[in-house]
Amino acid sequence: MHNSFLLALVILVALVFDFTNGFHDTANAVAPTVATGALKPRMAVILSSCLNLVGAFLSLKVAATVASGIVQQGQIILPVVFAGLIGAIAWNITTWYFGIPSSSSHALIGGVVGAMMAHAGGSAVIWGGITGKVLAPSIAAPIFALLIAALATTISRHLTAKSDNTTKSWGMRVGQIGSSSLLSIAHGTNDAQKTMGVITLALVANGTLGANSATPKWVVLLCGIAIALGTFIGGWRIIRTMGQGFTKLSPTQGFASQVTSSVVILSSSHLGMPLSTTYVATGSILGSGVGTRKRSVHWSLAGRVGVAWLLTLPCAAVFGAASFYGERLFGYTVGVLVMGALLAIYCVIIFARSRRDQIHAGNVNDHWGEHLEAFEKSAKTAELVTAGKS
Amino acid sequence: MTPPAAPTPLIDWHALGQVLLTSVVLGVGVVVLFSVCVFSLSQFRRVGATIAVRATNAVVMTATLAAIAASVVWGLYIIVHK
Repeated sequence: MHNSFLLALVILVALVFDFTNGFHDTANAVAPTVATGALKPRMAVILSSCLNLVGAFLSLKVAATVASGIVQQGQIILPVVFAGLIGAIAWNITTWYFGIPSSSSHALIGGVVGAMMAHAGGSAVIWGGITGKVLAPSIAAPIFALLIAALATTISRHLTAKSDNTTKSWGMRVGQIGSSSLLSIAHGTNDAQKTMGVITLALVANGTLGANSATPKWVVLLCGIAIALGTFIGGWRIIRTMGQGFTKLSPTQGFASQVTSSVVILSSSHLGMPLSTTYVATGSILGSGVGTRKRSVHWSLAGRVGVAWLLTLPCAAVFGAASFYGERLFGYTVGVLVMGALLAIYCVIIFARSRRDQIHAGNVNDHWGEHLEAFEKSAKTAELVTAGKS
Repeated sequence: MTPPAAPTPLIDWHALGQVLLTSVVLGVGVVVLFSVCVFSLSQFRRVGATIAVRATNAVVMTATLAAIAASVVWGLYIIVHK
C-alpha cells in the first residue's frame, strides 16, 4: 500500500520535473527564432511544443540508461528518486527565476547523486562515471559549439556579403524555422526520455516491472505530454537571456547557432556522448556573436551563467540530500508528502515573485532591449569616468 | 600468458574527437550550403539578371537545398535509430 502510494508520488513528481524541463529548455530551440523575428514568440513556442511531443515518441532506446554509470542502481529506493527529483525541480525553478540557462539534465543527476549520498554514502556514487559521462562532455560540448558556430557565422557572413539584405534576411529566417524544428525534435527525444528512464527505474525499484523491462507506452505518452506542455508555457525569462542577452542576434547568426546546436546534439547522441542541450545552445549563441565583425558578446553575462553551470551539480545535490534527510526525518511515507508540500510552497513563492517582473510573449524582446540599453549606458559611463580619472 | 587488460580511460577522448569532427564537418557544411543557396537566390532575384544567370542560380539553389534536405533526413534517421 505504502509502496503504491510512494510510486504514484514519484511518478507525479517526475512528470512535474519533465514539465519544468520543458519550460526551462524552451529557449534552447526558440530563443534565436524569437530574437530575430523568424517566428512570432507564441508561434515559435507552439511549434517547438508540438515537435517536442513528436520527438518523445521517436525513440526509446536511451530511456532506461538515465542513471546507469552514475549511481549504484542496486541501492536505489523510491525515496531517493523522489528526493533527487525534488532537488532537480528546486534548482530548475530557481535558475528559471533568475533567467539562467542551466542544465535540467545536470540538475537531475545532481539531485539523484545528492539523495543517494545521503542514503548510502559516497561509495554508492560512481565518481568515474560522473567525470566521464557528465563533467567532460559538459565542458567540451559548449566549447565545441562556440568554435563551430563562430566559424560557421564567419563563413556565412562572407558568403552572403554581396546578397541583398532583404533576400538574405528572409532566407536565413526561413532556414531558422527549419533548424529550430530539428532542434525541438532532438530536445523532445533526448530530454523526455530522461524522465521516462526515471519513471521506469521507479517502476522497476517498486517491483511493478521486471528488470530490463521496456518502457510502458503510458509512460511515454505522459512524459511526451508533460514536456510539450512545459514547452508550451514557454520559459520567457530564459528565452530573453539567450535571445537578447548574450549578443544581438541577426538572422544569419541565429541560423548558424541553431544548425550548430542541432548537429552537436545529434552527433554526440549518435556517438553515445550524453550532454546538456542547454550548454550546447548557449555555446552556439556565444559563438555566433564571436563570429560577427564586431565580435560583440556580453562576456560578463556569459561569465555569470558559467558560474551557475558550475553550481548546478553541487546545488542540486545539496537540495536532493536535504530532501532525502527531510523524508527520513518524518518517515518515508509522511516525509515525501512534507517535502512535496515544501517544494509546492517554494514554487508558489517563486512564481509570485516572478510576477513583479513578468516576462511574456509580448515583451520578451522589448524588455531585454531596455535592459541592454541600461547596460551599455552604464558601461559607457564607466568608460567616461575612467577616462576622466586618467 | 595473456597481458593484463588496459584500464578503461575515464574520459572517452576518441568519442569526443569524433563528436568534434562530425560537428565541424556537418555544422559548417550545412551553413555553407544554405549561405550559397541564399546568395544564389539573391542573384536569381536581381533586377536585370540574364536568363543564363537565373538558370545557373536555380540549379545551384536546387542542388544546395537537396543536400540540406538529405542532411536533415539523416539527422531524423539518427534520432529514430540511435
